[in-house]
Order: sequence, then structure tokens, then C-alpha cells
Amino acid sequence: MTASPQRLYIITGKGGVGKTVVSLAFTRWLRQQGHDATHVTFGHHRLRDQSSPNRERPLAAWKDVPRWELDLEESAEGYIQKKLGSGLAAKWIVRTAFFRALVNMMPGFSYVIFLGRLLQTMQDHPQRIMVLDAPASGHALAMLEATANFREIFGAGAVFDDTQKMLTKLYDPTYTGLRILALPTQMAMQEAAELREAVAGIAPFDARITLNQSLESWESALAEAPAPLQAKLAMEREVRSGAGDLPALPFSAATDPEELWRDLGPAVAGLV
Amino acid sequence: MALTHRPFEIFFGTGGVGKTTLATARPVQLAGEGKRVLLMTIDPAKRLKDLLGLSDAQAGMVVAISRFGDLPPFAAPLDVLLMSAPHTIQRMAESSGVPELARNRIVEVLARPNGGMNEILALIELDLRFTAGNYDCVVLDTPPGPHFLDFLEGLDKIRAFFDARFVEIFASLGRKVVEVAPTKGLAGRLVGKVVGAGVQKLLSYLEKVTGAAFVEDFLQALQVIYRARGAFLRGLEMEKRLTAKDASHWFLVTSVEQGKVSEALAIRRDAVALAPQGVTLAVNKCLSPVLADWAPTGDGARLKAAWLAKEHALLDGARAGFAGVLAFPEIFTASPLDHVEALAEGWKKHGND
Repeated sequence: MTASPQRLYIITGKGGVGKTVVSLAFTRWLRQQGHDATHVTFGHHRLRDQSSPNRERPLAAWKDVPRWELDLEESAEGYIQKKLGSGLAAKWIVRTAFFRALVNMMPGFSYVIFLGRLLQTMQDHPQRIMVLDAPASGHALAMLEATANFREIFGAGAVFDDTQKMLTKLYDPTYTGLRILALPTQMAMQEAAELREAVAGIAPFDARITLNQSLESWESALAEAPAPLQAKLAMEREVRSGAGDLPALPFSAATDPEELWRDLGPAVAGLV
Repeated sequence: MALTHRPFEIFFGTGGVGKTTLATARPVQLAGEGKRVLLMTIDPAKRLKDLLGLSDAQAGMVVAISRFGDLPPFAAPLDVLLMSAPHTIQRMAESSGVPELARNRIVEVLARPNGGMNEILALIELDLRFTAGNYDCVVLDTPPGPHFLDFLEGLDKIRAFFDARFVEIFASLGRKVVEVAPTKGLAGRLVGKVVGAGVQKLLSYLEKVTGAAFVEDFLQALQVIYRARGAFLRGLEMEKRLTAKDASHWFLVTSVEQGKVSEALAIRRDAVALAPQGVTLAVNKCLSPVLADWAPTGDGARLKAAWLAKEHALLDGARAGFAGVLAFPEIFTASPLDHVEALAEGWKKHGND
């Protein structure tokens, strides 16, 4: 079994870069290496009175990958119950209009609730590796800042202590690894680098950029292509040479899930 | 499809799709045609500032741009506003006579880029600027990410927060003097008592886990916000304006590089409530014009097929659900300035459809 240096992998990147596919593939790869890995997503960030319509499940064919979508209300209730020692009080609180408006007013609050629930579960299952398919970049930063902001707001007390503990785990590079996915374009790389810098400003994260949708392996296919398409590969190479030795996941022309696995599976090993 | 401008043009999308570039190109095109335009961004990444050569020091102020790149100077300057939450709060504090609003610790944290008040503040700023200026069009570039719809939810937040129930909260807590809306008769007073008792209970629980200092600060923040409510409630004026007939274009931006039909459809479903005339899908980075000139075999054919499939899935599959679909080509240079100029041309072409 390949050693997995971290317990929590946070996969982030701009919307649409391929976080879900990559995080699922990575979870699958970890499991094939013998680890107890689960793919995690955060559910809706607001407390709503009616349940949301079921979201599409991408790559449902990869049935061997356990998936966990956290529920905000359940997570909040669970935490409050722990703190107050009363399930009844917890149930009552999360149903008050006041509490719901409070949580919905501050999206950062929902991140703190989700992260708290995730980290608590990781404490209860010390062997489990969690691969978090995080919200898109700006929101990943919000997620990381939220905990620090709330600690600042709370100032002292039991919740403060808990957020402090969460931050310690989050910020520990031997515990948490942040992987920023970026398309191999100049603008995307610049934004990924900005995110990495912003994140470094918060804590010594193990934050690494990985390129996705690389055309490198399509070099011969593009040999006779119109100039603009060859320019795409040329621009990618320029970006990569400027950025040092970054791992790159290939653009896949797969038309079914198993073909996709053949394209991506070996490559995601580089995320560890 | 004729694309005359409308008073409000809102650009939203999941980010990384060229939304800001496309949203910048639109005012550049309109200003080039002599329209009076304001471009507002609430994008924390400040990508726009780089494109327009603006500095952080200019955040919160309207800056007039007289030309863009090598395009001819605009007949009337293009106004650009990099939204700054602290500036908006400061204006609100002044206009409502509540200076504490700009000094409250919790309000300050909430007003940070990802603190949660940004959408509400954007709506308020939009209202302030629209009423102050004399614009043919205000273009709003919303923050990227799956939660960009928080912008739409901002209206609900304002409404929920200033709900009559919270007036009861302040009254029942019996702390500093707060103006209370009169309740209707016995039923109203009873409701008030019940709500009041419930909130006391909630706050006592809160004190146990967060400490009394936080609860005190928090209540003060609520009161300060409540006293400045006039300024907040302005944001609700925007809803009426945005939903008036033919008052707005809502552009959902996606790209062939990164687009997913299912996501676009889901977003449209959520957005349609606020845009009764419909959402227009703007598909950026289309490759089909270039791919048409290529007849590969083998791996090349697989690659071309994969690219075309993505593009068609967006343009065709999503077409049924949208008020319109606009395609914009991929630009093969690295210069953001080139992109804006080329996309402005793209907008012009769509205007002539």
C-alpha cells in the first residue's frame, strides 16, 4: 500500500475544471491502494424548509467509490447536541427562524458547520481518508477563512475552542493537503497561483497546483491541426515551463466511465 | 436575435469561463456605440482591475475610462466601479446617521470579501449608483463560484432579516431603545410574547457555548444594523427594478472548456424566478469555427469529436431551456486585452443578428 501522507485532501479549482471527476478518480485510486477513502461533498449551504431536488450523480458507474454528501441541518444539529448535551434542544434550535436566518445570512457559517462535522467524523474513524470535492476556488478560500473569521467573532468559549481545534487540523500540512486544479492556460494558472498565495497567507498549507485537461498526450494528434489548435498546445507548454514541474492530468476523449478511468486512473497518483 | 442593451445586464456563472472578460467586453462594446454605461464588479479576485488598469486604491469609487486598449476613444466615458464593501458600509452609515455601523466588529467581519454580506451590499450599491447616475445600462459582473446565486438570494436575506419577527426580538430583549412596529391586537401581542420567550431561550443557549461577550457583541451588531435598516431596505428596491418587463438581461456564462449542460440547466431553473423574461446562455470559447477547417483521422478524429461533443451539448442541449443562446469563439492569444476586444466584436455581431 502506497503511504498516504495526509488524511484530508481538499480538491479545489475554478468551477468546471474537473474537480468532481478528478476527486472521484483519486478516491478510487486510493481505495485500490488499500486505503479506506471516501469522496465527500458539502450539501446545500443554506438551511431550507423543503428538501432540494436530487442532484445528478456524476460517474455513477464507479459504484465502488463511497460517497458522502454532508447535510447542513443534520451537521448543525449534531454539533449543537454535542455542545448542549441535549438532542431535544438541538432539534428545537435548528428549527427556529432566528437560527436559520442566522446561518443563511452568513455562508461562512455553513462552511464551519460542514468542516466541523467532517473533522469530527475523521476523529471517530482514524483510518479513513477523506477526499473533499470542495466548492470552487473563491469559495475554497472562503471556506478556509471562514473558520478563522468565526474564531475571531466568537472570541472565547466552547465554540471558540472547537474552531481553534479545527483550525489546527486544517492547517497541519501532515493532516491536510490542498490540491488546486487548473486548466493549462495562463489565466487559470495565474488564478491558481493567486489562490495558493492567498492560502499561504493564512497558514503553512501543503497546497499544490495540478494541471487538468492537458493536451500534452495529444501532440501527435494535433500535428496536422489548424494553427490555432496547435497554439493551444504551445500555450500550454509555455505555461508549464513557466510554472516548474507541475503534475498534469490528461484531457480525456473517453465516451464511457471505464475508458475515463483508464485515462485518469494512473495519472491521479500524482495528487498524493 | 437582436441584442439591444437593457438597463441592467447581469453576468453570472461558475467562474473560470471568461465571465469577467465577457462582462467587460459588453460595456466596451456599448460605450463604443456611445451609450452611457456603468460596469460594476463584486468579484473578489479583482480580475477586472487588471484588465482596466485600475488599482486597489480606487475600490469603492466610480472611475471613468475614456478608452480601452487600441480601440477608438469612447464618445462618453465608461464608468467602472470596483465594489468595496467597507466603502458601501461607510456610505450607508453616513446616509442613515448610524456611524456605529462602520465600526462594529461583527459587521466588519461580515463585510469581508467572503463574509456573507457582499451580495446584500452589492444590491444596495447597485441601487445607489443607478439612482445617482444617468446610465443607459448598468452591467453587473457577479462573483464566480457555485454560490453566485447568493446574489439573488441576497434579496431574500434582506427580507428575512428585517422580518417583523426581528422587530419583536429587539422589543422583547428590552435593551436599548428601538423603534417597534405596532403589532395587531391581542394575537399580535401574544405572538410577540412567544417569539420573545423563544429568543431568550436561544440566546441563553448561545451564551453557554459562545460566552456572554459574543452574545453582547452580536446583539449590538443586530441593533446597529436594525437602526440602519433604511439603507439596507433600499436593496429591496432593486428587486422591483430587476424584474420589471424588459428591464434586464441575465447572462449565464459557461464555456466549452468547462461547461456542463446539467449545471447550466440547474442554474437556469433557480435563476428563472428572478428573471421572468428568461436567462440567456452565453457559451464562451467555442472551437467549432476552427474545428470546421480540420479533417483528421485516428486520434485527431477522437479529439475533434470530443471537443465538438462538448460544444454541441451546451449549444443544443441547453437551448431548449433558455431565452437565447449566444456563442463566442475561443481567442487563441494569451493577452486579456485581446480577449476583451475580440469579445466586444462578438457582442457587436450578436447585436446585428
